[in-house]
Amino acid sequence: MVWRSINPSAQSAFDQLWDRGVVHKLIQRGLLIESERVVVGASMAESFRGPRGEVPSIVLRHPKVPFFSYPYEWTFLQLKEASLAHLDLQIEALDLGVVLSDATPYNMQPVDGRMRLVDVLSLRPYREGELWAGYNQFCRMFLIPLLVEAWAGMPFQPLLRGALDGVRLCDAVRILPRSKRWGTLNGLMHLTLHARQERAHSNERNATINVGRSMSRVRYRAMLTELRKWIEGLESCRLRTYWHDYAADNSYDGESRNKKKRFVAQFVREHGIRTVWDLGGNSGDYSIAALDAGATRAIVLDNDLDALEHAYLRSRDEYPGLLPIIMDCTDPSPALGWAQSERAGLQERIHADAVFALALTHHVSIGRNVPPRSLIEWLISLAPFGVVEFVPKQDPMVKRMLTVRDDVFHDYDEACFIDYLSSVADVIRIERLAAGGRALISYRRKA
Amino acid sequence: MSFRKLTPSWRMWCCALGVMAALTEPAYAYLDPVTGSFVIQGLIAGVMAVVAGVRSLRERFLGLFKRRRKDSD
Repeated sequence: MVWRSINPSAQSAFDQLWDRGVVHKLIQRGLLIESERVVVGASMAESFRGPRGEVPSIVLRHPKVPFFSYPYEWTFLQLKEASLAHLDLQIEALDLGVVLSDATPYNMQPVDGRMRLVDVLSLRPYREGELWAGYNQFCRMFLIPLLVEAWAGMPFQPLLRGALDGVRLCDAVRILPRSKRWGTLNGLMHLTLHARQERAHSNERNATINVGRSMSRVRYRAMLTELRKWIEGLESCRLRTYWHDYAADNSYDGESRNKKKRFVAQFVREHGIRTVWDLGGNSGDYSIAALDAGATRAIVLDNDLDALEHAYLRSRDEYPGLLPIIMDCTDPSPALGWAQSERAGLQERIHADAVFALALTHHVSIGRNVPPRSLIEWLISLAPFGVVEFVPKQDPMVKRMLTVRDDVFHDYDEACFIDYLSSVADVIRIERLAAGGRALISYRRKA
Repeated sequence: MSFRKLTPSWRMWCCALGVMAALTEPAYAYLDPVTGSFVIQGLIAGVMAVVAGVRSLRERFLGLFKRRRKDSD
């Protein structure tokens, strides 16, 4: 459970929302995270004392989001779903006389298979005639990243990871195609004209502030609904990735694939595994095998965008316990933001029972020159249990990798690998997929 | 060449240029870039309201047309 205190200054506005049933309606519509209002008794008061000594009279209790992910770890379809959910909530809220005070994807999280707002306190009563305060932020953090991929065919994730505040309009107009920015009404309005106004008003130096504008509720709503319609029609035009069809086109035969699925399923059942991190999990085949065997949550981490989009579609249509996350194991998300504590690094967020490192060892140790011992130590640090698939040098994939480089990987062999693993973990079971081929190894971290 | 003789896309560009020329006056302020978003929002929302209105009318008209065709079948 997560507890949130409400500042006395925000109490009155929040009470209005609560008493009118706005929060309850948005929760029922599946747009807002579950929220329960708890009266703070004398025994609890000290735990909720704020930095200025204030003690709230009311706190909110929410279910904990099992794995908090960030928009730079989402695929195009995930960010699109978050954008649409955000706009749906804004439209619904406006009809109830409520608005959001910001527009950031960091307040949206996948909960039970769909994107929901997790920051209830962003909601506040609508003031007649007010402008949309979060419009610039929405463009920088939702709209432009989507357009970067839909119009320029460029993945947006590195841009968001490099700038927590999103992509500035003045930068966006330099990378988005002119034909779209001028040739479409939405591009002309939300990007071209908007960027020019932003630049014009950031260049002035005088002190007088004059922003005495207002907007009717009808226009406000129209902005939201038209944006929603536009974003709904956006599709990624990024080039297909190398591994996009890996699930169908790889070096496994049908029997090896089934053997792997059975191994994973048996492992999950025997050890009561509930949460799995599937490193290099591609489109989630073995995560799904784990879910079918009784796991409740499987996070697929991979850096192949197309494979993860496929995993996302599977999570949306059939497996809400599956969560695809963009992650390069050799360059995981770092801690970012103020005091490097606003956005947690990957390892600070892990609460897995087991990790899968299937068809991964050669990519990390040979492809990225990470010594096998270091890879094993990292895997062990992530979770108490795991399944790793050792891919030997005789494997066709590894042979291909070594044709274009010198073989300096003297300790990359199965015997060495198991030796390293045994020094830090107890090997539970080993099964070979084919004679002289890949070996599946399950283990338990030493106490 | 008169405005009326221009194609629809050229007319849109001319309108946009006119709007930009009218809007790029200084706002008598140094503020962070979000001010520009507030300044332009009224115009954008107005245009979107017109688009939304036209869309709504079109959907109602098409809906009426579909109902009539269904009745005659």
